[in-house]
Amino acid sequence: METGSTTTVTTSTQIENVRRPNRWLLGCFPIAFGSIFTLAGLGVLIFAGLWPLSLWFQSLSWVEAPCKIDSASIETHSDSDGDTYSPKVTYTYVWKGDNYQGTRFAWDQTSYGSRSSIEKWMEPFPVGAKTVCYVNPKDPKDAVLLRSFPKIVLFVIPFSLIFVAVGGGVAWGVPRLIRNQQARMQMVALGQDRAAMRTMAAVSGTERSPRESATIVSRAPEQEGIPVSASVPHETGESNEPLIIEPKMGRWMNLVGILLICCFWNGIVSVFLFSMFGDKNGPPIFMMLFLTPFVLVGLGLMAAVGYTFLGLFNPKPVLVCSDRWLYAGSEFELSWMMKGNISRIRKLTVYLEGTESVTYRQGTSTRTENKLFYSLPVAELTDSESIAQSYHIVKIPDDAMHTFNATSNKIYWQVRFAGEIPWWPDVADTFEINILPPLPYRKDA
Amino acid sequence: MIQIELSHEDGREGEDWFCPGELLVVKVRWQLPKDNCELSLQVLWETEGKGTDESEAAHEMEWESEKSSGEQTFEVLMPRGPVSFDGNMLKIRWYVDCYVEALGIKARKPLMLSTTGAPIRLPEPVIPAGMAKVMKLFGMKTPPTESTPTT
Repeated sequence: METGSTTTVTTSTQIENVRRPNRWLLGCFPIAFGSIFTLAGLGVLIFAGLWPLSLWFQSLSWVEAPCKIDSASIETHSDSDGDTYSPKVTYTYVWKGDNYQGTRFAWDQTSYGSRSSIEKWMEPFPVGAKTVCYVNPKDPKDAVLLRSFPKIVLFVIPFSLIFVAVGGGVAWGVPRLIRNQQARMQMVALGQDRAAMRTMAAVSGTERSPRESATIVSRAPEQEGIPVSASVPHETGESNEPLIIEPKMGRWMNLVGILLICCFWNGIVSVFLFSMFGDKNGPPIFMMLFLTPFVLVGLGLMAAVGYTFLGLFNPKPVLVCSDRWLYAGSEFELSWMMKGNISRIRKLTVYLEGTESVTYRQGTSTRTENKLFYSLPVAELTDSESIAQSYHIVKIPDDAMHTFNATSNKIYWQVRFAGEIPWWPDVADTFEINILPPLPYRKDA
Repeated sequence: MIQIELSHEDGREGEDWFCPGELLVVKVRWQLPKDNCELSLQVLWETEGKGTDESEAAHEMEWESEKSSGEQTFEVLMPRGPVSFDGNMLKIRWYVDCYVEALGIKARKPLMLSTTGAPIRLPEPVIPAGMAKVMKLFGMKTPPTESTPTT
């Protein structure tokens, strides 16, 4: 396969010339709105979800003590939304010869809208009844009459987490979305300003031959009647305009994926760990040795989650490809703008890569194997200005295999950004590009 | 017995490669043990190599032969892709198949979908530069690395 070629032209002036709207106001509103949601969610999560859950968990080791119900009633709370009810009891219990009085009925302190459900709940505890309560042996003044699991947390925790996630997402994501949109508009403006680009290319002596997208568009109708496989990309009705390329896999998707794997793995391992350390005779040595590699993998996954999380804050490239339809042998202009604190990037290398990927069954498992067959460094940049925004002319090799996307066998092409950041996760973003199969044969050609 | 002959639109014979969008002329001759058989013709690609095999027919035709022998000519436009390919883990091959399913008789003729007369061949896989250094340390032969584009 022949080597592709690249030409570097930095275009900071064009990008800067595109007018930027006032982003301060646009960014502040979602941050304020989202923060209120997040704080409210966190408050509910901690005080109505995690706190009762923690108390219940501690009370599992409390000691049973005889007690007598002194009073039992239902408290009514009235507000504009109507009445709610909660149980109110006092009971006397004996602990190591001393009498104490308790008022805590259960760990579930919430008020309910239905009086009958509270009545049913309190039915086993009429005034004068002799029953048992549970006493904290470290602090005998602390007791609870009903030690059952506070079921309300099963509703409160997911509900409050939704608030936290939505609020956090709005506060964090919307300002970035706005900024990205602005960057895209700038990049589109830059990409569409082909005349300006060519002038710059001409100045730098890198002007391209007239073999351009116009030829491709005029040939497109000839494809009619020629079958095209679903596993091969082909031209659609759109014209050959600059294309903003989305990352192959978003950073958030990466984080969510690795977080799920981490939770799944550590969730299973923790069950064994709890049972091992819960053993009255201490953890068995054999079991500890057996579990050690699994725990290490779990710790590695946790470190990977942290690494991926930090990577979220890395500068992010917005990539524009000058041609929507790319073929073997064609040249195209690849321009980008890095959003974020680019001064942290010591070196940025951008690669054009081709990879073979095959999936096969091995025993009962399915394996996917990838092999890189082509890697061309499009740019190696160290100065901040070029890292922030550049454009490069890239030539796809004449004998390059086009993109092929069958179920188990694939050929894919991508632009990979690799940015070195000292003492921080590196920039690692990939953008898939489609190389189309050769244009149809023409009898008169 | 089934025989398949392939030729170009202009009558050229002997060349087994066809460009995307070119007209492929397929001549089928058959001599079967009985009359009234249903014959099928497919122009298809198949994958070979390490991955699970896959295939897709670009053209498919069926016809009934009243007599036990005969011949028929078809003209099909070759599709855009995938072009014939020789990778390290994946190969894509094109064939013309003609068969009588009821009798279990099948004939196959390979062809190439290409613009050059040869399948696209991949060089050796590229390995990361760091890995190449380690391999060199151990005196192993190093394939091309990502910092030295393949030629």
